[in-house]
Amino acid sequence: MKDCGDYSGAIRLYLDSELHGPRIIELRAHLERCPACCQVLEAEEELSCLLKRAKPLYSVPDSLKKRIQQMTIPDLSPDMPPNKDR
Amino acid sequence: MSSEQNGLDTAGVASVEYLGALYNYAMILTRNQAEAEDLVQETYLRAIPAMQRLRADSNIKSWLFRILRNIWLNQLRKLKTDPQLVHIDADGTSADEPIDSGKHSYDAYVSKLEIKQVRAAIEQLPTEFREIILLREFEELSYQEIAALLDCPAGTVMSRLARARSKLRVILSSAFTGPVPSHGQGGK
Repeated sequence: MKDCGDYSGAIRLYLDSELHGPRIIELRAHLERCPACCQVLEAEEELSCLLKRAKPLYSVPDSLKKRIQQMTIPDLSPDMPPNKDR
Repeated sequence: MSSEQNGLDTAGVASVEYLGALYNYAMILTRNQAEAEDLVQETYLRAIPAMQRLRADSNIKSWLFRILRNIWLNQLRKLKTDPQLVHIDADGTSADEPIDSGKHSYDAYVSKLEIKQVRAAIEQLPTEFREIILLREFEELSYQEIAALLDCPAGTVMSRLARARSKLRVILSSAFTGPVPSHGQGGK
């Protein structure tokens, strides 16, 4: 019989959408009767939520945005004529 | 419209969609704003000519990430520098704080504090942990996509991710047990 240690990895896989099929059903059944694993699930969710709230970690500098746009969208270049089929 | 023009259009869309992700990945790898900007620019320089050859179902983000990572690895090899020894540029975190200006000021303050602590905690991680946290938690790549990008087995992704999260949790726990001001305290 599986114990909580067997489910700790599955909890993380579940939150990462990497757990599939019958293993999800098995984990959910275990969570329904195991408050300790529910706490682990909540703590893992909390960490992920905290990280997602911090996104984006860095904002793209405007100078870089302009450089990349000029490289990738030539029609934005001041030297180019307006967009048209060539 | 020519295939070359199509390729450039694709590149243009990708630049808007993935520039932020690429810049954040570059910052995570280099921890230096100037180096990150150069890395992103070099990535686009190499990607643009190849974009028109991409299949419609290609995973452009993963592909761009791989180009960026390969350039970074090549630069490291050239410099013979250990990624652990890359200097932290404190000003690298000086970009605009992504705070919702519509929030209550206290909430905004806590958010800002949280973001700073999360950034600081991530900065304390070794490069391989910072990288895998970004790829999974921020960019939401699957284990398989991360494995392909890092050129390692999916099992390695899982174990590295578990260790990175564990380490991050320890750092964040100690950060949040510090003197965090509570509502109604501290003046105004």
